Amino acid sequence: MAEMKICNLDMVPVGSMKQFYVSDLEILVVNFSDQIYCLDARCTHAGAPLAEGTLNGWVLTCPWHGSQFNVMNGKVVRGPAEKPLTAYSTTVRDGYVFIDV
Amino acid sequence: MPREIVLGNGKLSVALDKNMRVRDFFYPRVGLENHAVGHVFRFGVWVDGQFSWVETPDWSITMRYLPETLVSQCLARNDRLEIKLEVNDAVHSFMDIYLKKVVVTNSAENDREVKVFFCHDFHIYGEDSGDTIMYDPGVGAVIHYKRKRYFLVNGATNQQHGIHEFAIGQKESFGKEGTWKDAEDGVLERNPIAQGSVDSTVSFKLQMEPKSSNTIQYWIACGNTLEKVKQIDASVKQTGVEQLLLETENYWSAWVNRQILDLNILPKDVVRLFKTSLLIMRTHVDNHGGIISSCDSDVLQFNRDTYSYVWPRDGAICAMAFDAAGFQEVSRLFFEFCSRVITNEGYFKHKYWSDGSVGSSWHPLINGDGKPQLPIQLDETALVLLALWRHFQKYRDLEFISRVYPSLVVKASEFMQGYRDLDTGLPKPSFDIWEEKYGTSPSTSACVCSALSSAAKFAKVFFNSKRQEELNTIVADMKKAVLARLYDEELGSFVKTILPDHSIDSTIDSRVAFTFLYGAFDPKSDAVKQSMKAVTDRLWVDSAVGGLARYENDEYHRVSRDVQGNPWIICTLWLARWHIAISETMEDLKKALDLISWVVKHALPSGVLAEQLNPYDASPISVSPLMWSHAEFVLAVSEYAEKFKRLSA
Repeated sequence: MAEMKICNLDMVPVGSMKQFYVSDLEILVVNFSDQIYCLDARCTHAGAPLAEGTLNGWVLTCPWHGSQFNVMNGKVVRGPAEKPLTAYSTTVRDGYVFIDV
Repeated sequence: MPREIVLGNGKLSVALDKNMRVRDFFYPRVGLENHAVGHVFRFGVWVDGQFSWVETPDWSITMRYLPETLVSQCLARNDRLEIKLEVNDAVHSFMDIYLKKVVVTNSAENDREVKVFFCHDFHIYGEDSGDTIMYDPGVGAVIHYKRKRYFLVNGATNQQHGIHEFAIGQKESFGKEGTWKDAEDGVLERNPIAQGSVDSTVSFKLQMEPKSSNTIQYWIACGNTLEKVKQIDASVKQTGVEQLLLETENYWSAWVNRQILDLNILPKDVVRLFKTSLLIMRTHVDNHGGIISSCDSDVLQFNRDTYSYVWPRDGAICAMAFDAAGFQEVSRLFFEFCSRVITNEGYFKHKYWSDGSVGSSWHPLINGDGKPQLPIQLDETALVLLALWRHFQKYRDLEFISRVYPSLVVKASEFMQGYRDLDTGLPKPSFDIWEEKYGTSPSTSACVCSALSSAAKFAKVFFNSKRQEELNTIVADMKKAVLARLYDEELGSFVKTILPDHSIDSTIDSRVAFTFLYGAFDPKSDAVKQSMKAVTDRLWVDSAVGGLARYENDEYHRVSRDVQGNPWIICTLWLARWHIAISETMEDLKKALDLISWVVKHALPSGVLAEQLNPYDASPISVSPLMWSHAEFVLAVSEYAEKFKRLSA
């Protein structure tokens, strides 16, 4: 297990999400109620860029086919996606977001 | 009318207007045969005894792309009819099919029969007559054809295989408006064949429960023979439109995500337009390498002509943008195209069709005094050469370069070397980058300096020291001549042009940006700084919209004389690129990001960038999309990302 720096916390204001390319990973950073969550940035159904979707509270809706996920744990709320998003163990330290990979 | 959505696979290219109607339909070469030529492919709905075309005002329409794809995401809602249509359009990533999925929602509280109609006003080969349309009962499809072009229309619903009804008939003659008129009573007459000037309409019928949705799958297969389109039709029936759309979504999403640049530092809306720009640009690249300037056939620039040509200048700037973003295989296609079409003398003609034949032109072979002149735009030749150098600098693909080196470097540089006024050291007159004035301008001269300098660097790579030295000497002399003869201290700017009669046009023109854009002059030099200041002071549009006008007293599509002109996307982005080039701190760089964000703000909701904007309401003017606008956006964002990285290191 290694820690990987994803972004500056300021880049993801409360209620927003942003995709980051780090190494070979595409990580979605979500700021929900001042809590930071890091998930895979691609929908498990057809690979859509989830950062282009909509965030309504803790529900993230995919921009292509409308699958919904819980941003706090990556679980599917509504299909067509069947598999959950990978949710990364996330730490915020010194104004930066880190994940364990 | 702008094109809101453009779809394509490098062979088949389809453009839709703001009413979700097909208006341009290129096949099998992007930019060559437009089988729609701006004619309208309507679609409409019949329900409860009422008919409504989706273009009428009681429909509210939004049109976008599914993010990172060349698949549309359109919504049409009619509250009066209580009908909603969610539409995805695409051209399959490698099969020659135009695909459409329509999810029809009945928002009413009662059962209803809904019919959806699609009209096809093909003008095959762009011609008005000689088409045939027939209904083929074997495949249940309507087929348009002429000579070697076949377009097979078919579809299905989740309740019925195939088309419900069809109409085939005459149009544009003997007072006949076309079969779309037949649709307005909700019934199509099923005439099985017609020839001449003809069109077709097909319908799909849905029995809908209250508050329910049903899906229509619709497609147009394209081919050179009847067998080919039937083969594609069979393939669509077997695979289904849904799966083909998924394949297309994934293809483009994979294509656009190259990760050459660090996009993390950019605002989300800038990244979105950056990717959309690359995707839209790809729809304008023919698979044989020609990059057309715009598919929008509505604009009639001169003498009922369009922008659907390959201008080597616009193509070179697109190639530089593709290279900057990591798409070297696309720019290579363009350089190969250029290598095929460059003249034996070593220059490019005004513009080309995408098959490489010479395009139409308004540049005369004699001047006003009847003396012969070479009707070229010299910057076009220069920009291709310097784009090739930038490509090589980034990708070091010497084997590829060696294939195009004799034509694009040796011949072109020899031509530019010879096309100089030996008394002044400047290039001889040619038409300017705005394709208007014949003369010697700082912008063209700067492009030639950069191109010859590129040729010198290539000469070093190919170990020709003598040639390298010779070219470097010419470049040094030419730069001195540009500063001595084309910069006016009193004006505080480079002039616009020296005309062939040696008179000077001192109009302030944004194209002076070319003096620094490709390295001819230092962007921080006094001459460039003063010129860019003059451009900003005199050409920033004093209206709520803002943006940079092209030049003083520009009359092309001018909306009002009360402001400096219409804001142009490319000119505004040149200003952004200058701010990037001169930035020394992160704070300086913010000015550039503001200008980049200005462009984002004035894109159409789909991401399409026009050539110009109305200075009062920011509506698009002239062609939309314009590939040059998209390419400048990609270049500005790439340069911003690189400068950001350097300054933050």
